[in-house]
Amino acid sequence: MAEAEVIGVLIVYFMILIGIGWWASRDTQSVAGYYLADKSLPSWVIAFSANTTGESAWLLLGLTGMGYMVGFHALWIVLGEVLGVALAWSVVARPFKTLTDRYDAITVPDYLNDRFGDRSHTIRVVSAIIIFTMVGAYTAAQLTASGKAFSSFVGTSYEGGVVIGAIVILLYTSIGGFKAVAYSDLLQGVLMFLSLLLLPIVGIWQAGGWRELMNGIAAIDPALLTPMGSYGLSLAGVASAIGFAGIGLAFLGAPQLLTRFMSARDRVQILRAGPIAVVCIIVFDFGAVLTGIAGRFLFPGLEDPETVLPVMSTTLFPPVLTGIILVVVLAAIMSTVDSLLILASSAVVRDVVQQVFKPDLSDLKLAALGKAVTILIGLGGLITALGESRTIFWFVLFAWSGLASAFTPVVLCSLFWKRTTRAGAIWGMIAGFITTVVWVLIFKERFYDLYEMIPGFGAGFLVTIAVSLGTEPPPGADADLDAVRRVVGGPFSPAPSRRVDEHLIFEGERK
Amino acid sequence: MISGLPFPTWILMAAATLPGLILIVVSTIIHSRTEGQDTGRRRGKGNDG
Repeated sequence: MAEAEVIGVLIVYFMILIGIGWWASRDTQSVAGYYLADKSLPSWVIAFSANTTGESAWLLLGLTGMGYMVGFHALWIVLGEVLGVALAWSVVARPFKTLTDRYDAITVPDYLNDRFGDRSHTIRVVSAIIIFTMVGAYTAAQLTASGKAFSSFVGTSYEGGVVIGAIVILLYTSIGGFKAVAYSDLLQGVLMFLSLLLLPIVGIWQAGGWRELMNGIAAIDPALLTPMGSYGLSLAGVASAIGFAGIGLAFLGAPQLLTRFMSARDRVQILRAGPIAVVCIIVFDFGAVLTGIAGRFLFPGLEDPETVLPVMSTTLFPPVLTGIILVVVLAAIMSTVDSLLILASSAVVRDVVQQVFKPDLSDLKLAALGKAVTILIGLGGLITALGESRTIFWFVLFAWSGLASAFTPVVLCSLFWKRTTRAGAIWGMIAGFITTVVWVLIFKERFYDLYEMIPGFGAGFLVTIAVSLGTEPPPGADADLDAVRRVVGGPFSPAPSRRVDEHLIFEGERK
Repeated sequence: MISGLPFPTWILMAAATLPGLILIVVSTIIHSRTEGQDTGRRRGKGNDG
Protein backbone atom coordinates (compact mmCIF):
# COMPACT_ATOMS: atom_id res chain seq x y z
CA MET A 1 0.00 0.00 0.00
CA ALA A 2 1.43 3.41 -0.96
CA GLU A 3 2.50 5.95 1.60
CA ALA A 4 -0.07 8.63 2.40
CA GLU A 5 2.42 11.27 1.22
CA VAL A 6 2.52 9.81 -2.29
CA ILE A 7 -1.24 9.84 -2.57
CA GLY A 8 -1.36 13.34 -1.08
CA VAL A 9 1.03 14.71 -3.71
CA LEU A 10 -1.03 13.00 -6.43
CA ILE A 11 -4.29 14.55 -5.24
CA VAL A 12 -2.74 18.06 -5.13
CA TYR A 13 -1.39 17.63 -8.65
CA PHE A 14 -4.71 16.42 -10.05
CA MET A 15 -6.49 19.36 -8.45
CA ILE A 16 -4.01 21.79 -10.05
CA LEU A 17 -4.63 20.24 -13.47
CA ILE A 18 -8.38 20.44 -13.13
CA GLY A 19 -7.97 24.03 -11.93
CA ILE A 20 -5.99 24.85 -15.09
CA GLY A 21 -8.79 23.27 -17.12
CA TRP A 22 -11.38 25.42 -15.41
CA TRP A 23 -9.24 28.60 -15.81
CA ALA A 24 -8.82 27.93 -19.53
CA SER A 25 -12.46 27.03 -20.10
CA ARG A 26 -13.45 30.68 -20.54
CA ASP A 27 -11.62 30.70 -23.86
CA THR A 28 -13.19 27.54 -25.29
CA GLN A 29 -16.38 28.96 -26.71
CA SER A 30 -15.14 28.99 -30.29
CA VAL A 31 -13.37 26.50 -32.54
CA ALA A 32 -10.21 28.65 -32.69
CA GLY A 33 -10.31 29.05 -28.92
CA TYR A 34 -10.86 25.36 -28.15
CA TYR A 35 -8.33 23.99 -30.66
CA LEU A 36 -5.60 26.68 -30.79
CA ALA A 37 -6.04 28.96 -27.73
CA ASP A 38 -6.82 31.74 -30.23
CA LYS A 39 -3.16 31.77 -31.36
CA SER A 40 -2.10 33.63 -28.25
CA LEU A 41 0.64 31.57 -26.64
CA PRO A 42 4.04 32.92 -25.51
CA SER A 43 7.49 31.40 -26.04
CA TRP A 44 7.93 29.37 -22.83
CA VAL A 45 4.55 27.73 -23.23
CA ILE A 46 5.02 26.67 -26.85
CA ALA A 47 8.61 25.49 -26.26
CA PHE A 48 7.76 23.27 -23.31
CA SER A 49 4.44 22.20 -24.77
CA ALA A 50 6.05 21.00 -28.01
CA ASN A 51 8.69 18.99 -26.14
CA THR A 52 6.43 17.45 -23.53
CA THR A 53 3.86 16.57 -26.18
CA GLY A 54 6.57 14.83 -28.16
CA GLU A 55 8.15 13.05 -25.22
CA SER A 56 5.52 11.43 -22.98
CA ALA A 57 5.88 8.32 -20.82
CA TRP A 58 8.09 7.05 -23.61
CA LEU A 59 10.77 9.37 -22.21
CA LEU A 60 10.44 8.51 -18.52
CA LEU A 61 9.66 4.80 -18.79
CA GLY A 62 10.63 3.81 -22.34
CA LEU A 63 13.89 5.71 -22.85
CA THR A 64 15.10 5.04 -19.29
CA GLY A 65 14.32 1.38 -19.94
CA MET A 66 16.24 1.53 -23.22
CA GLY A 67 19.21 3.16 -21.42
CA TYR A 68 18.98 0.28 -18.92
CA MET A 69 19.03 -2.35 -21.69
CA VAL A 70 21.54 -0.99 -24.22
CA GLY A 71 23.58 1.56 -22.26
CA PHE A 72 25.27 4.36 -24.23
CA HIS A 73 24.00 2.97 -27.57
CA ALA A 74 20.79 4.83 -26.64
CA LEU A 75 22.65 8.12 -27.26
CA TRP A 76 21.81 7.75 -30.96
CA ILE A 77 18.25 8.58 -29.93
CA VAL A 78 19.48 11.75 -28.23
CA LEU A 79 21.41 12.73 -31.37
CA GLY A 80 18.33 12.34 -33.58
CA GLU A 81 15.98 14.12 -31.22
CA VAL A 82 18.21 17.12 -30.52
CA LEU A 83 18.86 17.61 -34.24
CA GLY A 84 15.17 17.11 -35.01
CA VAL A 85 14.06 19.71 -32.48
CA ALA A 86 16.74 22.20 -33.57
CA LEU A 87 15.84 21.83 -37.25
CA ALA A 88 12.12 22.10 -36.53
CA TRP A 89 12.44 25.41 -34.68
CA SER A 90 15.08 26.92 -36.95
CA VAL A 91 13.84 25.80 -40.38
CA VAL A 92 10.17 24.77 -40.23
CA ALA A 93 8.46 26.80 -37.51
CA ARG A 94 8.57 30.34 -38.87
CA PRO A 95 7.54 29.64 -42.50
CA PHE A 96 4.82 27.32 -41.22
CA LYS A 97 3.51 29.95 -38.80
CA THR A 98 3.52 32.58 -41.55
CA LEU A 99 1.54 30.45 -43.99
CA THR A 100 -0.96 29.15 -41.42
CA ASP A 101 -1.65 32.72 -40.31
CA ARG A 102 -2.03 33.71 -43.94
CA TYR A 103 -4.63 30.97 -44.48
CA ASP A 104 -6.24 31.45 -41.04
CA ALA A 105 -5.67 27.73 -40.50
CA ILE A 106 -6.65 26.19 -37.18
CA THR A 107 -5.47 22.64 -37.92
CA VAL A 108 -2.74 21.03 -40.03
CA PRO A 109 -5.31 19.60 -42.49
CA ASP A 110 -6.71 23.19 -42.72
CA TYR A 111 -3.27 24.35 -43.80
CA LEU A 112 -2.76 21.53 -46.32
CA ASN A 113 -6.24 22.07 -47.75
CA ASP A 114 -5.60 25.80 -48.37
CA ARG A 115 -2.01 25.34 -49.52
CA PHE A 116 -3.15 22.95 -52.26
CA GLY A 117 -6.55 24.52 -52.99
CA ASP A 118 -8.33 21.23 -52.34
CA ARG A 119 -12.03 21.89 -52.95
CA SER A 120 -12.85 18.18 -52.84
CA HIS A 121 -11.72 17.98 -49.16
CA THR A 122 -9.86 14.73 -49.93
CA ILE A 123 -6.83 15.93 -47.96
CA ARG A 124 -9.02 16.64 -44.95
CA VAL A 125 -10.67 13.23 -44.99
CA VAL A 126 -7.42 11.30 -45.53
CA SER A 127 -5.75 13.33 -42.75
CA ALA A 128 -8.65 12.73 -40.38
CA ILE A 129 -8.56 8.95 -40.93
CA ILE A 130 -4.79 8.75 -40.33
CA ILE A 131 -4.93 11.00 -37.27
CA PHE A 132 -7.89 9.14 -35.78
CA THR A 133 -6.24 5.71 -36.21
CA MET A 134 -2.83 6.66 -34.89
CA VAL A 135 -4.14 8.75 -32.01
CA GLY A 136 -6.20 5.77 -30.89
CA ALA A 137 -3.07 3.59 -30.77
CA TYR A 138 -0.97 6.33 -29.18
CA THR A 139 -3.53 7.10 -26.48
CA ALA A 140 -3.87 3.42 -25.61
CA ALA A 141 -0.07 3.17 -25.30
CA GLN A 142 0.07 6.14 -22.95
CA LEU A 143 -2.76 4.85 -20.79
CA THR A 144 -0.88 1.55 -20.63
CA ALA A 145 1.99 3.57 -19.19
CA SER A 146 -0.40 5.13 -16.69
CA GLY A 147 -1.45 1.65 -15.57
CA LYS A 148 2.19 0.55 -15.19
CA ALA A 149 3.15 3.73 -13.33
CA PHE A 150 0.31 3.50 -10.83
CA SER A 151 0.89 -0.17 -10.13
CA SER A 152 4.68 0.32 -9.72
CA PHE A 153 4.52 3.43 -7.56
CA VAL A 154 1.26 3.15 -5.67
CA GLY A 155 0.40 -0.54 -5.77
CA THR A 156 -2.96 -0.15 -7.52
CA SER A 157 -4.00 -2.69 -10.12
CA TYR A 158 -2.92 -2.03 -13.69
CA GLU A 159 -6.57 -1.51 -14.69
CA GLY A 160 -7.15 0.94 -11.84
CA GLY A 161 -4.16 2.99 -12.94
CA VAL A 162 -5.43 3.13 -16.51
CA VAL A 163 -8.86 4.34 -15.40
CA ILE A 164 -7.58 6.99 -12.96
CA GLY A 165 -5.22 8.42 -15.59
CA ALA A 166 -7.97 8.53 -18.19
CA ILE A 167 -10.47 10.28 -15.91
CA VAL A 168 -8.12 13.13 -14.93
CA ILE A 169 -6.91 13.70 -18.50
CA LEU A 170 -10.41 13.72 -19.95
CA LEU A 171 -11.63 16.13 -17.28
CA TYR A 172 -9.17 18.98 -17.84
CA THR A 173 -8.80 18.43 -21.61
CA SER A 174 -12.50 18.39 -22.44
CA ILE A 175 -13.18 21.42 -20.22
CA GLY A 176 -10.16 23.57 -21.03
CA GLY A 177 -9.21 22.68 -24.62
CA PHE A 178 -5.86 23.60 -26.16
CA LYS A 179 -5.13 26.40 -23.69
CA ALA A 180 -5.45 24.00 -20.73
CA VAL A 181 -3.35 21.47 -22.63
CA ALA A 182 -0.57 23.97 -23.37
CA TYR A 183 -0.34 25.52 -19.89
CA SER A 184 -0.52 22.16 -18.15
CA ASP A 185 2.24 21.06 -20.56
CA LEU A 186 4.36 23.97 -19.26
CA LEU A 187 3.87 22.86 -15.64
CA GLN A 188 4.50 19.23 -16.57
CA GLY A 189 7.55 20.15 -18.64
CA VAL A 190 9.16 22.06 -15.78
CA LEU A 191 8.58 19.07 -13.45
CA MET A 192 10.05 16.70 -16.05
CA PHE A 193 13.06 19.00 -16.59
CA LEU A 194 13.87 19.19 -12.86
CA SER A 195 13.40 15.46 -12.35
CA LEU A 196 15.60 14.48 -15.28
CA LEU A 197 18.31 16.75 -13.88
CA LEU A 198 17.94 15.27 -10.39
CA LEU A 199 17.51 11.53 -11.10
CA PRO A 200 20.80 10.83 -12.90
CA ILE A 201 22.71 12.93 -10.35
CA VAL A 202 21.24 10.90 -7.49
CA GLY A 203 21.77 7.65 -9.37
CA ILE A 204 25.44 8.43 -10.06
CA TRP A 205 25.94 9.54 -6.46
CA GLN A 206 24.32 6.32 -5.13
CA ALA A 207 26.60 4.30 -7.39
CA GLY A 208 29.61 5.93 -5.70
CA GLY A 209 30.47 8.46 -8.41
CA TRP A 210 30.92 8.52 -12.17
CA ARG A 211 34.06 6.31 -12.21
CA GLU A 212 32.47 3.70 -9.97
CA LEU A 213 29.37 3.66 -12.15
CA MET A 214 31.37 3.20 -15.35
CA ASN A 215 33.49 0.46 -13.77
CA GLY A 216 30.35 -1.24 -12.49
CA ILE A 217 28.66 -1.11 -15.90
CA ALA A 218 31.83 -2.45 -17.54
CA ALA A 219 31.75 -5.38 -15.11
CA ILE A 220 28.16 -6.18 -16.10
CA ASP A 221 28.84 -5.86 -19.85
CA PRO A 222 31.60 -3.71 -21.43
CA ALA A 223 29.51 -3.32 -24.61
CA LEU A 224 27.07 -1.13 -22.66
CA LEU A 225 29.72 1.61 -22.65
CA THR A 226 30.22 1.65 -26.43
CA PRO A 227 28.34 3.59 -29.14
CA MET A 228 27.25 0.44 -31.00
CA GLY A 229 26.42 -1.57 -27.88
CA SER A 230 26.29 -5.35 -28.07
CA TYR A 231 25.73 -5.16 -31.87
CA GLY A 232 29.25 -3.92 -32.48
CA LEU A 233 30.03 -2.44 -35.88
CA SER A 234 27.66 -4.68 -37.85
CA LEU A 235 24.69 -4.23 -40.20
CA ALA A 236 22.35 -4.82 -37.28
CA GLY A 237 24.21 -2.21 -35.24
CA VAL A 238 24.07 0.35 -38.04
CA ALA A 239 20.36 -0.34 -38.57
CA SER A 240 19.76 0.12 -34.87
CA ALA A 241 21.72 3.39 -34.75
CA ILE A 242 19.95 4.76 -37.83
CA GLY A 243 16.59 3.69 -36.46
CA PHE A 244 17.27 5.32 -33.11
CA ALA A 245 18.44 8.55 -34.74
CA GLY A 246 15.40 8.50 -37.03
CA ILE A 247 13.06 8.86 -34.08
CA GLY A 248 13.86 12.59 -34.02
CA LEU A 249 12.76 13.14 -37.63
CA ALA A 250 9.16 13.32 -36.48
CA PHE A 251 9.78 16.66 -34.78
CA LEU A 252 9.92 18.19 -38.27
CA GLY A 253 6.28 17.56 -39.10
CA ALA A 254 4.20 15.53 -36.66
CA PRO A 255 0.85 17.36 -36.59
CA GLN A 256 0.55 17.42 -32.79
CA LEU A 257 3.83 19.37 -32.71
CA LEU A 258 3.10 21.65 -35.66
CA THR A 259 0.04 22.99 -33.82
CA ARG A 260 2.41 24.53 -31.26
CA PHE A 261 3.94 26.66 -34.01
CA MET A 262 0.46 27.66 -35.17
CA SER A 263 -0.61 28.64 -31.65
CA ALA A 264 2.30 31.05 -31.07
CA ARG A 265 1.31 34.65 -30.51
CA ASP A 266 3.73 35.72 -33.26
CA ARG A 267 7.05 34.72 -34.88
CA VAL A 268 9.05 36.53 -32.21
CA GLN A 269 7.74 33.97 -29.69
CA ILE A 270 8.94 31.20 -31.99
CA LEU A 271 12.40 32.76 -32.17
CA ARG A 272 12.59 32.90 -28.38
CA ALA A 273 11.19 29.38 -27.96
CA GLY A 274 13.78 27.63 -30.17
CA PRO A 275 16.77 27.75 -27.78
CA ILE A 276 14.49 26.90 -24.84
CA ALA A 277 13.22 23.83 -26.66
CA VAL A 278 16.69 22.60 -27.63
CA VAL A 279 18.15 22.96 -24.12
CA CYS A 280 15.06 21.28 -22.73
CA ILE A 281 15.30 18.25 -25.04
CA ILE A 282 19.01 17.82 -24.25
CA VAL A 283 18.27 17.65 -20.52
CA PHE A 284 15.25 15.39 -21.07
CA ASP A 285 17.02 12.84 -23.24
CA PHE A 286 20.44 12.77 -21.61
CA GLY A 287 18.81 12.64 -18.20
CA ALA A 288 16.65 9.67 -19.21
CA VAL A 289 19.51 7.66 -20.74
CA LEU A 290 21.85 8.28 -17.79
CA THR A 291 19.06 7.38 -15.35
CA GLY A 292 18.63 4.05 -17.11
CA ILE A 293 22.36 3.39 -17.07
CA ALA A 294 22.62 4.19 -13.36
CA GLY A 295 19.61 1.95 -12.76
CA ARG A 296 21.31 -0.93 -14.58
CA PHE A 297 24.16 -0.78 -12.08
CA LEU A 298 22.02 -0.21 -8.99
CA PHE A 299 19.22 -2.67 -9.83
CA PRO A 300 20.57 -5.33 -12.20
CA GLY A 301 18.23 -8.10 -13.25
CA LEU A 302 14.96 -6.13 -13.36
CA GLU A 303 12.29 -8.25 -15.05
CA ASP A 304 10.82 -5.25 -16.88
CA PRO A 305 13.49 -2.62 -17.70
CA GLU A 306 10.70 -0.06 -18.20
CA THR A 307 10.16 -0.07 -14.42
CA VAL A 308 13.71 1.16 -13.68
CA LEU A 309 12.51 4.68 -12.94
CA PRO A 310 9.73 3.73 -10.49
CA VAL A 311 12.06 1.23 -8.79
CA MET A 312 14.80 3.86 -8.42
CA SER A 313 12.35 6.43 -7.10
CA THR A 314 10.65 4.23 -4.53
CA THR A 315 13.99 2.85 -3.31
CA LEU A 316 16.20 5.94 -3.28
CA PHE A 317 13.84 8.78 -2.37
CA PRO A 318 11.65 9.65 0.63
CA PRO A 319 7.87 9.26 0.06
CA VAL A 320 7.15 12.92 -0.78
CA LEU A 321 9.80 12.93 -3.52
CA THR A 322 8.58 9.54 -4.73
CA GLY A 323 5.13 11.09 -5.01
CA ILE A 324 6.57 13.96 -7.04
CA ILE A 325 8.40 11.55 -9.38
CA LEU A 326 5.14 9.65 -9.91
CA VAL A 327 3.52 12.98 -10.66
CA VAL A 328 6.26 13.62 -13.22
CA VAL A 329 5.62 10.27 -14.93
CA LEU A 330 1.93 11.02 -15.04
CA ALA A 331 2.77 14.53 -16.24
CA ALA A 332 4.69 13.03 -19.12
CA ILE A 333 1.76 10.79 -20.02
CA MET A 334 -0.87 13.47 -19.67
CA SER A 335 1.11 16.11 -21.58
CA THR A 336 1.01 13.82 -24.60
CA VAL A 337 -2.44 12.30 -24.33
CA ASP A 338 -4.11 15.70 -23.90
CA SER A 339 -2.47 16.98 -27.10
CA LEU A 340 -3.40 13.86 -29.04
CA LEU A 341 -7.00 14.04 -27.93
CA ILE A 342 -7.26 17.67 -29.05
CA LEU A 343 -5.61 16.75 -32.36
CA ALA A 344 -8.01 13.89 -33.05
CA SER A 345 -11.02 15.89 -31.90
CA SER A 346 -10.07 18.75 -34.24
CA ALA A 347 -9.65 16.32 -37.14
CA VAL A 348 -13.20 15.11 -36.65
CA VAL A 349 -14.99 18.34 -35.72
CA ARG A 350 -13.12 21.07 -37.58
CA ASP A 351 -11.72 19.20 -40.58
CA VAL A 352 -14.64 16.90 -41.33
CA VAL A 353 -17.85 18.07 -39.62
CA GLN A 354 -17.41 21.85 -40.02
CA GLN A 355 -15.49 22.05 -43.27
CA VAL A 356 -17.17 19.21 -45.20
CA PHE A 357 -20.67 18.57 -43.86
CA LYS A 358 -21.96 21.38 -41.62
CA PRO A 359 -20.28 24.71 -42.42
CA ASP A 360 -23.24 26.64 -40.94
CA LEU A 361 -23.02 25.11 -37.48
CA SER A 362 -22.33 27.82 -34.88
CA ASP A 363 -18.93 28.13 -33.23
CA LEU A 364 -20.47 27.45 -29.84
CA LYS A 365 -22.08 24.20 -31.02
CA LEU A 366 -18.89 23.10 -32.73
CA ALA A 367 -16.84 23.76 -29.60
CA ALA A 368 -19.35 21.71 -27.57
CA LEU A 369 -19.16 18.92 -30.13
CA GLY A 370 -15.38 19.12 -29.86
CA LYS A 371 -15.59 18.45 -26.13
CA ALA A 372 -17.87 15.47 -26.64
CA VAL A 373 -15.62 13.96 -29.33
CA THR A 374 -12.58 14.46 -27.08
CA ILE A 375 -14.25 12.35 -24.40
CA LEU A 376 -15.33 9.64 -26.85
CA ILE A 377 -11.85 9.23 -28.31
CA GLY A 378 -10.36 9.09 -24.82
CA LEU A 379 -12.79 6.37 -23.82
CA GLY A 380 -11.79 4.38 -26.91
CA GLY A 381 -8.13 4.55 -25.89
CA LEU A 382 -9.10 3.55 -22.35
CA ILE A 383 -10.94 0.43 -23.50
CA THR A 384 -8.00 -0.62 -25.70
CA ALA A 385 -5.49 -0.09 -22.89
CA LEU A 386 -7.63 -2.09 -20.46
CA GLY A 387 -7.57 -4.99 -22.88
CA GLU A 388 -3.83 -5.58 -22.78
CA SER A 389 -0.60 -4.24 -21.26
CA ARG A 390 2.04 -3.68 -23.95
CA THR A 391 5.67 -2.62 -24.10
CA ILE A 392 5.52 1.16 -24.05
CA PHE A 393 8.69 1.94 -26.00
CA TRP A 394 7.87 0.27 -29.31
CA PHE A 395 4.09 0.73 -29.18
CA VAL A 396 4.43 4.48 -28.75
CA LEU A 397 7.06 4.64 -31.49
CA PHE A 398 4.73 2.85 -33.90
CA ALA A 399 2.02 5.46 -33.42
CA TRP A 400 4.60 8.28 -33.44
CA SER A 401 6.01 7.10 -36.76
CA GLY A 402 2.58 6.53 -38.33
CA LEU A 403 1.66 10.17 -37.79
CA ALA A 404 5.09 11.51 -38.68
CA SER A 405 5.55 9.44 -41.85
CA ALA A 406 2.16 10.52 -43.15
CA PHE A 407 2.54 14.25 -42.52
CA THR A 408 6.21 15.26 -42.32
CA PRO A 409 7.29 14.61 -45.93
CA VAL A 410 4.18 16.38 -47.25
CA VAL A 411 4.49 19.36 -44.89
CA LEU A 412 8.18 19.82 -45.68
CA CYS A 413 7.55 19.62 -49.43
CA SER A 414 4.66 22.07 -49.10
CA LEU A 415 6.88 24.60 -47.33
CA PHE A 416 10.00 24.37 -49.47
CA TRP A 417 9.14 22.96 -52.90
CA LYS A 418 6.87 24.98 -55.18
CA ARG A 419 6.29 22.01 -57.43
CA THR A 420 4.35 20.05 -54.77
CA THR A 421 0.83 19.31 -55.95
CA ARG A 422 -2.47 18.33 -54.36
CA ALA A 423 -2.27 14.79 -55.76
CA GLY A 424 1.34 14.48 -54.60
CA ALA A 425 0.30 15.50 -51.08
CA ILE A 426 -2.60 13.05 -50.91
CA TRP A 427 -0.69 10.06 -52.24
CA GLY A 428 2.39 10.98 -50.23
CA MET A 429 0.37 10.91 -46.99
CA ILE A 430 -1.20 7.59 -47.86
CA ALA A 431 2.14 6.07 -48.90
CA GLY A 432 3.93 7.22 -45.74
CA PHE A 433 1.20 5.89 -43.48
CA ILE A 434 0.68 2.53 -45.20
CA THR A 435 4.41 1.87 -45.52
CA THR A 436 4.79 2.36 -41.76
CA VAL A 437 2.01 -0.09 -40.95
CA VAL A 438 3.06 -2.72 -43.50
CA TRP A 439 6.71 -2.47 -42.48
CA VAL A 440 5.88 -3.19 -38.84
CA LEU A 441 3.54 -6.07 -39.66
CA ILE A 442 5.57 -7.84 -42.35
CA PHE A 443 9.11 -6.60 -43.01
CA LYS A 444 10.60 -5.22 -39.82
CA GLU A 445 11.93 -8.50 -38.42
CA ARG A 446 13.48 -9.47 -41.72
CA PHE A 447 15.45 -6.22 -42.01
CA TYR A 448 17.37 -6.06 -38.74
CA ASP A 449 14.34 -4.56 -36.95
CA LEU A 450 14.90 -1.26 -38.80
CA TYR A 451 12.60 1.36 -37.23
CA GLU A 452 9.51 1.89 -39.37
CA MET A 453 9.88 5.67 -39.65
CA ILE A 454 12.85 5.26 -41.99
CA PRO A 455 11.00 3.41 -44.78
CA GLY A 456 7.86 5.42 -43.95
CA PHE A 457 9.64 8.72 -44.54
CA GLY A 458 11.33 7.34 -47.63
CA ALA A 459 8.03 6.26 -49.15
CA GLY A 460 6.33 9.51 -48.15
CA PHE A 461 8.97 11.67 -49.86
CA LEU A 462 9.34 9.43 -52.92
CA VAL A 463 5.62 9.29 -53.67
CA THR A 464 5.01 12.99 -52.93
CA ILE A 465 7.78 13.99 -55.32
CA ALA A 466 7.00 11.42 -58.03
CA VAL A 467 3.27 12.16 -58.16
CA SER A 468 3.86 15.92 -57.97
CA LEU A 469 6.18 15.79 -60.97
CA GLY A 470 3.36 14.23 -63.00
CA THR A 471 0.62 16.69 -61.96
CA GLU A 472 0.06 20.45 -61.93
CA PRO A 473 0.85 22.60 -58.87
CA PRO A 474 -1.93 24.82 -57.51
CA PRO A 475 -2.07 28.40 -58.89
CA GLY A 476 -0.64 31.00 -56.53
CA ALA A 477 1.62 28.55 -54.68
CA ASP A 478 4.73 30.07 -56.29
CA ALA A 479 3.72 33.52 -55.12
CA ASP A 480 2.90 32.41 -51.59
CA LEU A 481 6.20 30.61 -51.07
CA ASP A 482 8.16 33.54 -52.55
CA ALA A 483 6.30 35.87 -50.20
CA VAL A 484 7.12 33.65 -47.21
CA ARG A 485 10.76 33.74 -48.19
CA ARG A 486 10.72 37.54 -48.39
CA VAL A 487 9.00 37.82 -45.02
CA VAL A 488 10.95 35.26 -42.94
CA GLY A 489 14.12 34.77 -44.97
CA GLY A 490 15.68 31.39 -45.65
CA PRO A 491 16.65 28.86 -42.99
CA PHE A 492 20.06 30.50 -42.55
CA SER A 493 19.62 33.84 -44.21
CA PRO A 494 17.71 36.84 -42.84
CA ALA A 495 14.69 38.43 -44.52
CA PRO A 496 15.83 40.87 -47.23
CA SER A 497 14.67 44.08 -45.52
CA ARG A 498 14.57 45.17 -41.91
CA ARG A 499 11.08 46.62 -42.04
CA VAL A 500 8.59 44.66 -44.08
CA ASP A 501 4.87 44.97 -44.54
CA GLU A 502 3.89 41.34 -44.66
CA HIS A 503 0.38 41.89 -45.94
CA LEU A 504 1.60 43.98 -48.89
CA ILE A 505 4.33 41.49 -49.70
CA PHE A 506 1.81 38.67 -50.03
CA GLU A 507 -0.50 40.78 -52.17
CA GLY A 508 2.39 42.08 -54.25
CA GLU A 509 3.72 38.64 -55.04
CA ARG A 510 0.31 37.52 -56.25
CA LYS A 511 0.02 40.32 -58.85
CA MET B 1 39.32 5.37 -22.12
CA ILE B 2 38.54 8.76 -20.57
CA SER B 3 36.92 8.75 -17.13
CA GLY B 4 35.87 5.16 -17.66
CA LEU B 5 34.22 5.70 -21.06
CA PRO B 6 35.72 4.83 -24.45
CA PHE B 7 36.69 7.82 -26.62
CA PRO B 8 34.10 7.03 -29.38
CA THR B 9 31.35 7.30 -26.77
CA TRP B 10 32.51 10.80 -25.84
CA ILE B 11 32.41 11.66 -29.57
CA LEU B 12 28.83 10.41 -29.75
CA MET B 13 27.92 12.48 -26.70
CA ALA B 14 29.33 15.61 -28.31
CA ALA B 15 27.63 14.82 -31.62
CA ALA B 16 24.34 14.37 -29.80
CA THR B 17 24.38 17.89 -28.34
CA LEU B 18 26.68 20.34 -30.12
CA PRO B 19 25.31 20.42 -33.69
CA GLY B 20 21.75 21.05 -32.47
CA LEU B 21 22.84 23.75 -30.04
CA ILE B 22 25.01 25.52 -32.61
CA LEU B 23 22.25 25.32 -35.20
CA ILE B 24 19.58 26.92 -33.02
CA VAL B 25 21.89 29.62 -31.67
CA VAL B 26 23.10 30.63 -35.14
CA SER B 27 19.58 30.62 -36.56
CA THR B 28 18.23 32.68 -33.66
CA ILE B 29 20.99 35.28 -34.05
CA ILE B 30 20.50 35.52 -37.83
CA HIS B 31 16.75 36.06 -37.64
CA SER B 32 16.49 38.15 -34.49
CA ARG B 33 17.55 41.23 -36.41
CA THR B 34 14.54 41.19 -38.71
CA GLU B 35 11.78 39.51 -36.72
CA GLY B 36 9.48 41.89 -34.91
CA GLN B 37 10.25 44.69 -37.38
CA ASP B 38 7.03 44.23 -39.34
CA THR B 39 4.93 47.29 -39.94
CA GLY B 40 1.80 45.73 -41.39
CA ARG B 41 -0.71 43.01 -40.58
CA ARG B 42 0.91 39.62 -39.96
CA ARG B 43 -2.18 37.49 -40.05
CA GLY B 44 -5.18 36.82 -42.23
CA LYS B 45 -8.57 38.25 -41.53
CA GLY B 46 -9.92 38.47 -38.03
CA ASN B 47 -6.82 38.36 -35.86
CA ASP B 48 -4.71 41.06 -34.38
CA GLY B 49 -1.03 40.72 -33.39
